Amino acid sequence: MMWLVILAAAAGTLALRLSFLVAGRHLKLPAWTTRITDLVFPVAIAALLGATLRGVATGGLGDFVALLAGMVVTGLIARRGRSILLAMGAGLATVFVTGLIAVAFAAGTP
Amino acid sequence: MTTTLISPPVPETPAWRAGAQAMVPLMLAVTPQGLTLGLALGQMPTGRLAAWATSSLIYSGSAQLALVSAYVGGAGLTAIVVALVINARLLFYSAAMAPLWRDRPLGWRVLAGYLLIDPSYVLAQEKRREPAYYLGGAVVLWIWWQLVTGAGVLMPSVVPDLKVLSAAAPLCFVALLTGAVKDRRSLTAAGTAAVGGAALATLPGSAGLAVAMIAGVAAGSVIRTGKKVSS
Repeated sequence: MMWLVILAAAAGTLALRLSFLVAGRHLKLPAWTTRITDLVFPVAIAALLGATLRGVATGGLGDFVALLAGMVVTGLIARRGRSILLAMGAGLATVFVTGLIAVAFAAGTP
Repeated sequence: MTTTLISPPVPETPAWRAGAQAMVPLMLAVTPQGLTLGLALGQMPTGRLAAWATSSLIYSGSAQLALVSAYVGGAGLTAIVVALVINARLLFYSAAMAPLWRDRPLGWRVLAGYLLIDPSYVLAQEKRREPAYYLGGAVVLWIWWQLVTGAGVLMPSVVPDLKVLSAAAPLCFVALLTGAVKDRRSLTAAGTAAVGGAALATLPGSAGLAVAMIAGVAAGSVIRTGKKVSS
């Protein structure tokens, strides 16, 4: 039964992926959908980011602040047109350092 | 007598290799998700092979986890529906790429479509006229996804502490969003989706993600002007 469920979901997913690529000449999206295709990617990424942040926020303030600091650094570097790898590397370093500071601060707090 | 020095032509990096190289940061970003997903799948009472098979058959992290979790919860049909709702965005990716790949052979389009997922879609959008660039990155990502989820499923003891590495995914999202948000319309859409994603994160079966995405698209589509976001 499990395999049946997996195969059905796999077939449905493949159909979603291939629909317009294979049958594009016969399928026509309504006009309004063509106006929103450029929004799909930023919206999907933003929704995932929001859900991830919610998860981190429930984990502890120190982790949340460290991640926020890393996100600011990553965003600023990426905004300046640098590579994603460089932006992420700087962001990860910021998360690491800010996390250490948060731990030290928490340890010093009575 | 004068001699003219002609420097030898610098060989250009093949497009597929350039695509594979461009995929590296995105691979880093999906690694924590792949490992943790593999760990979670490996603990499901469905059998490790079935759980890992979702990596190649469905090839979409959030949908894989939702499918297996819903099935273990006793809802076979719901599991399929949830997976398809989460993957509904792939329909739009397919529609967006169809005009660009229309003239490629059928086999190529089937392979390219099978490999279509968020990071590979980023690459496809980056160089829309270079199919080899897309395939180079997409194939490398697929192989990497099988390896990292497989490591989590089959060898949970080798999975490292993910505390710092787990920040890679949200940081990658930020870097990608920075490039994707180009005007007030996309900023409104992304902002709405982010707030919705955070607010609705606790809804069952990742339904919050779907609702947040729909809200984001709706909010963005009511903005008509394409005023640029200043850098």
